Amino acid sequence: MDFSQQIAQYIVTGLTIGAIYAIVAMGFNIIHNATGIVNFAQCEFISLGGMFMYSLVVLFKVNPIISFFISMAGVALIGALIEIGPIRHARSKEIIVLIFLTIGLSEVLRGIAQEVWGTDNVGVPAFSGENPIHLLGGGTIVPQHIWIFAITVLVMLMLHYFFKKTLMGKAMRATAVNRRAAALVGISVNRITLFSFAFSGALGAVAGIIIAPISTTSYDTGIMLGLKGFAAAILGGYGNFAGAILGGVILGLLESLGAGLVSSQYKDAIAFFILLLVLFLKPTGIMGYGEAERV
Amino acid sequence: MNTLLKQKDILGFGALAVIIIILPLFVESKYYFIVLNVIGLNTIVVVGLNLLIGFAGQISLGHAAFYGLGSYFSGILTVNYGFPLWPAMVVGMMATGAVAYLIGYPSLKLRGHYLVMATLGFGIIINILMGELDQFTGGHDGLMGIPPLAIGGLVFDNDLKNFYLIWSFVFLCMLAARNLLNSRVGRALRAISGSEVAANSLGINTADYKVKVFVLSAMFASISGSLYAHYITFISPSSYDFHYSIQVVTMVIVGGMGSLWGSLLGAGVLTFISEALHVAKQYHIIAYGVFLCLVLVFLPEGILMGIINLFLKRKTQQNIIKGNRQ
Amino acid sequence: MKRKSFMIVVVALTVSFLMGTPFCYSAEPIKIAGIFALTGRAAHIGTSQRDAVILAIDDVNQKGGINGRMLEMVMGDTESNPTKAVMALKKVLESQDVVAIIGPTLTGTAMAMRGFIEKEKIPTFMHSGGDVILKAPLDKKDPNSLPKWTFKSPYKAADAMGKICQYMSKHGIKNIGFLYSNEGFGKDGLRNVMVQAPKYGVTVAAQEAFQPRDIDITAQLTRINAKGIDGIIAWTVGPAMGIIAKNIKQLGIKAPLFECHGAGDPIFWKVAGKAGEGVMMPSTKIVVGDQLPDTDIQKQKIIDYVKAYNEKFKHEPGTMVAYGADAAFIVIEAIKKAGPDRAKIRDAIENTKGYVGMSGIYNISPQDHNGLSMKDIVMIKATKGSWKLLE
Repeated sequence: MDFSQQIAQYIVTGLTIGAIYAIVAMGFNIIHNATGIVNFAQCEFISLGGMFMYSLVVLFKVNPIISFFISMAGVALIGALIEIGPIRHARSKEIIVLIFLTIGLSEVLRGIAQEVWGTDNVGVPAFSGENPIHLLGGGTIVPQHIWIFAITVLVMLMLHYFFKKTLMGKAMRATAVNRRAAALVGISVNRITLFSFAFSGALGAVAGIIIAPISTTSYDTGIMLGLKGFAAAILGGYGNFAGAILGGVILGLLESLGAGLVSSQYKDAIAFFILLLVLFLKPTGIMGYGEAERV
Repeated sequence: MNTLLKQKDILGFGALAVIIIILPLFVESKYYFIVLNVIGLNTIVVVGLNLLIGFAGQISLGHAAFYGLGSYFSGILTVNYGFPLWPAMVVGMMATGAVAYLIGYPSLKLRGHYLVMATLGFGIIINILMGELDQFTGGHDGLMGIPPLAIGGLVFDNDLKNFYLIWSFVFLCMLAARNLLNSRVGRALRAISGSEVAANSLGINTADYKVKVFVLSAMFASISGSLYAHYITFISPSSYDFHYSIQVVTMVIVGGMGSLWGSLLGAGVLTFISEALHVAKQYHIIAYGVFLCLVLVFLPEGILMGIINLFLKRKTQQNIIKGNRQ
Repeated sequence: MKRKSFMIVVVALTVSFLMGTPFCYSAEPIKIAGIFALTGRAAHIGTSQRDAVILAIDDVNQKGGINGRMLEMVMGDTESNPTKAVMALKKVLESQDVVAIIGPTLTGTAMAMRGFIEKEKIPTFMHSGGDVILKAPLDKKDPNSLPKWTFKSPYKAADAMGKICQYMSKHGIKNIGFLYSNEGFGKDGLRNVMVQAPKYGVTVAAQEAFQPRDIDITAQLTRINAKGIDGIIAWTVGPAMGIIAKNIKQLGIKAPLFECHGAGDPIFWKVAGKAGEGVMMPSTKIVVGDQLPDTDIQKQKIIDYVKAYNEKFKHEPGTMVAYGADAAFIVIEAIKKAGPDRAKIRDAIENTKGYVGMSGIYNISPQDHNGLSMKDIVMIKATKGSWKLLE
């Protein structure tokens, strides 16, 4: 493999990882826009998506396409339950308290997942086989990568349509700008929040499902992916959807090129370091607008 | 109001001193001592962190890095370079403070979730460095053979002696924090957490104060880290990951943000519960998570204020959570 | 009056006689402690080692225990965290009658516990992999201050690496790429390969690290492959074992893949799937028991144990189960020989010679608290969902 082929491989790999980070980042953004908090239970949404898919496809031998949608629905339901229960009834709406509530909830979910599925990593069959595909210009991928790109693009298009054209989407955008004003024009803020959690659950599940055939899945796969997805969301500008895609792609490429060209031991340190530099130069992320300040 | 506060303090600190002195008469098991010692170590970190989170209204999800820096500076200086023990701790504290200043100065210009990410980020970077710079740190295998602390001929090499050592530091750190909070600095901090804009308009240099509190909280963590290193005599990067960072902030919240005694309570309750729940065997992780959620949902002002409020049948409003800084 | 007091005396004597007879006498169980990583990042290894120990203890208890006394395990959870490990240690030591300890799982937790174990003077048989546990002196200033109360069942990682290099040199593999997970185990592997490879005429042409939780390792593999290697060693335990195998297939790399001595476990197939076919690794004989020649004295013992394991836990044991089983069996043998006395048990363990275990034949001595050597290791190949014995 000559140098340009190597670079091509790093770029392809980086884009793949980046796509996953982008989907996770979008999940974080949706909840932030609706409630202003960071939902660390997103990590569990990812793990659970993968594990549900594993149980349905491998253990119960259900058709993969049906399993995909059932898994999404299952995690969406869990997201909704979290909101309608602990989060809505929390006596304090202070952001730091709610953030740590999501951390506590994620520990409960993780503990339950460990009980149900054990601690082993498990594989999920690829959607359409594992035969390598050689790309023009160097680099190889497997069919699963194509699925990942395709589904990510599809999700982005659907989200774009949803937020621009549908009533629910517009209501969510209104809530993000100003909750009180949204309530005043008749938007049920509670319902929006509930829907956001469910939606975010579904997105997290999608991320977990499409990556599972490549990286295997377990009860705690989502922790690292969630953390990096959050970093991608921040990098791109927290709450901004185009930012989520940009942040995801940049983070993925930084990791892959960092490992390939600079140093594989320090690749995470390099990626986070560059993230910090960006934040110091532009405190609201690449495409973010200013955060509403407490006065 | 001020005199009442001081009277409560004298009572509180007096009681704490008495308890520290006589408790070992009632405790025999080494296990209870190590639990108490870990509570003490956590309390020191939590008190410092509370100054930052509860009083200055900032956040840090990377404080494990400062705890670890304290451990590693003490460990490396004493093991690899034969430094004398106490100076090593002081050097560690200063060095950690310097690192905190370098990180804090640009980071604390960030707001909200961006600050969260920045602190998470540097916590991870420092944790990675602990494992990578293995000529100094022993890498992922850890650093062993750290000598116990000693004053003259008195060597702190068992659980009982470390109990007195660690809790003496807890006492001193809490006293220092109390004095800070009663001073002009404390009032400035409360103003900042109430409203940065208003504080600025009153002439308080908020950026300056925020960084200074950040550095101070890092130094508290560093002291605790040094004590830990000399107690367990072995350290490795896995003790200083973001799980620990999250744990200590959780203790701040559960104890009560902005409550000095709450810090002690938060550290105590969560450390104790985490051990006590082992009776639930493999369900202890779930049980701990459920306990945490219950506290955060029903007692968001912290266990201390929550119980006091319940006692006095006060209704808690949003403002009280912020207003109860003492 | 006289008859009444006589009756009282008779009743009293009868009662005390009955209380003293074996009928009412419940023999005190002998307590050993098992401290494993039952939660946290090493949970999947810790729980399977705990199962191995439970099986060994049940086996002994079913056969009547030790001199009529049942064995009881007091369990502790290190939560894969060194601080919690020390706390768990102090907790199990609460009951003074714990005579020995088995565990822990992770090397970091083992190192944290080691100093306290030596101070407490309780014999401990560890099944963590790090060679540093036995090699590092307790006191940095005295290189001869090796641990006296700590023993370890897994063979030296250095020997496992040597086995791979030996196999490679026999099969004409000269230049290799070394891929390791960026934590204690992986880095230890890097140190070992740099020493072992030259011994067998193998050159490490490239070395790359990855994070244990990485989802894609193609960048590192691309870099290694660019250096023109004819063999790859991947030193990690966990999902990366499978990801690396898959990535290699994806990139079309033809060089054979070798993995570490912890890969011989059913979980390997779960994470690698079809891509795992043909991967080679060093292992304990426990996974290829029925392929051993009949002359191998370990064969029958392994076959019996594996059968019992399958029956109880409904899945095949992996190579690391051998470590847990051997730790338990050797300690049990020592208790049988020396009785429930910590110092005597320690001496008995230290004099274990020619013990036929799952991991090999143990010859423990004061200088060698492990007792295994390279001849106890076999090379196996992942074949059709199971393992094939190579040599």
